[in-house]
Amino acid sequence: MKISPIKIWRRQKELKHLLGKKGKIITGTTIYVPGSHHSDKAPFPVVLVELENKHRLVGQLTDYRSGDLTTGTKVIAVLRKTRSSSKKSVIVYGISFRPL
Amino acid sequence: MTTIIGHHTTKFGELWQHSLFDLVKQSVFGALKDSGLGKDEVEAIFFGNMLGGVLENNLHGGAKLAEMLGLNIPIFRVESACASGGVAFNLGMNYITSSQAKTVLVVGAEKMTDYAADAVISGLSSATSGEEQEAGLTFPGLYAMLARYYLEKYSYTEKHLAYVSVKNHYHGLLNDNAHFQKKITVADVLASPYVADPLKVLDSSPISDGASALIITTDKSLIKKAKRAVSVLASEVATDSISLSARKNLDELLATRIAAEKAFREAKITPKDISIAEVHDCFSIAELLAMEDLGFWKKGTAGKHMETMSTMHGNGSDFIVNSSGGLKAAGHPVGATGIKQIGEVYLQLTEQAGKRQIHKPRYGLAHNVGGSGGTAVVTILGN
Repeated sequence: MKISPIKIWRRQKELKHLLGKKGKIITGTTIYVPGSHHSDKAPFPVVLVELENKHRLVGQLTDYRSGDLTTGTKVIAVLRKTRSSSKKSVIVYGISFRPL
Repeated sequence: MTTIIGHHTTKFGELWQHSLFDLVKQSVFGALKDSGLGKDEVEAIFFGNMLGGVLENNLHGGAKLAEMLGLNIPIFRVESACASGGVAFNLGMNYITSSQAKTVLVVGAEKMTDYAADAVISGLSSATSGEEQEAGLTFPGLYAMLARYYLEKYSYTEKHLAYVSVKNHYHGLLNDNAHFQKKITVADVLASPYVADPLKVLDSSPISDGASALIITTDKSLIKKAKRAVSVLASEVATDSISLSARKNLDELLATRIAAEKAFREAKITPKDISIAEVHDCFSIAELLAMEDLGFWKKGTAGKHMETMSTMHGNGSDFIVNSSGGLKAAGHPVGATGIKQIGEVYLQLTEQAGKRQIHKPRYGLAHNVGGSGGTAVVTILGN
């Protein structure tokens, strides 16, 4: 099902408050069999991160090297494309985590 | 006491020749035949289904059932992700308890194999949080995160997960309705490709079609007439946050623990009294967590217990888990699963389970989970 551009716009208003937040990986996985919205990205790692303010959130791991997908790795929240997009659709940005 | 007097589960698998409502019809008329009831004796129907709207543009199932059966009774469609069947059963029970009816039919069904796997995976992901969907997390991905956390915390390996699939595939071999009737080994599981690390293809339940129905009643004359009857001692539902990130503990499904504690209290028995359990093994890690959260094994010990395969039929134990093959081998048509689980316990308690029958079980438990633990239903049956 296509995602509404309005829904994307509404969700993205919250992202600026999360950018630059630091935390560490609690757990994670590498997705080898994705859903249709992420089919051109697989395999890709996703991590559950506990931020310094103890708030937890999930996001893809980006700009990583082998060994970074490990519990305890320190990461920072950055803005990245999160879904597959076409020439006719809105490009969806969201929070990903880059190892520090 | 509310009592189950009839049950029917269709074959689970890739059933391309049958539509969603073909399967519903098979299971409904099968359950009516099993109970000896006519359709006009049913006062209400609860229909568990998750993906009809998402995949097939197929909603308003109550009216479709009414047309199929030629009835004008109340029919309710129930959606609670993979717990749609279990929740439908719970609502049917409550409908009777609140004196709205004496006899209710509960049916669960799902049609999944008409669609490409990525479309089904995306459809199932509609039962995750928006944040999880945006990150590309699938249900295998969410359970993989739980698995990685559990394996690291309690120093287990992927081999400890593999035993679950080996056991449940063996049970599937004994169930003619199971999606898979194929024995597998630990080596087979470990050699299968990753779906979401550390979970592999053979740690995962399949995409299946199927339906299952039960008839429950408090009508004493129907219970007396019934060829086979089993009492429902408890049916409890609990919920938790939809997001893993909002959970305090990642080595448990809290909703399961709460529902189980309430159900055992209601049934006035303990986990040690259970002889047969159908637990929600959508992924191998889910059975390990379930066995601990339901109170059968202490937290952190499920890996060690699984290694002994003590809950496998034929291993001399008086406590067998997932004799149907579980979701892993019997299949997982999501809306049907919760009903099939209760149906399997009913078959065991009425000694109709054929090759997989266990010796004189007295109490049985069914455990159905929605999503990654956002909903859990625990049902206890007894003779």
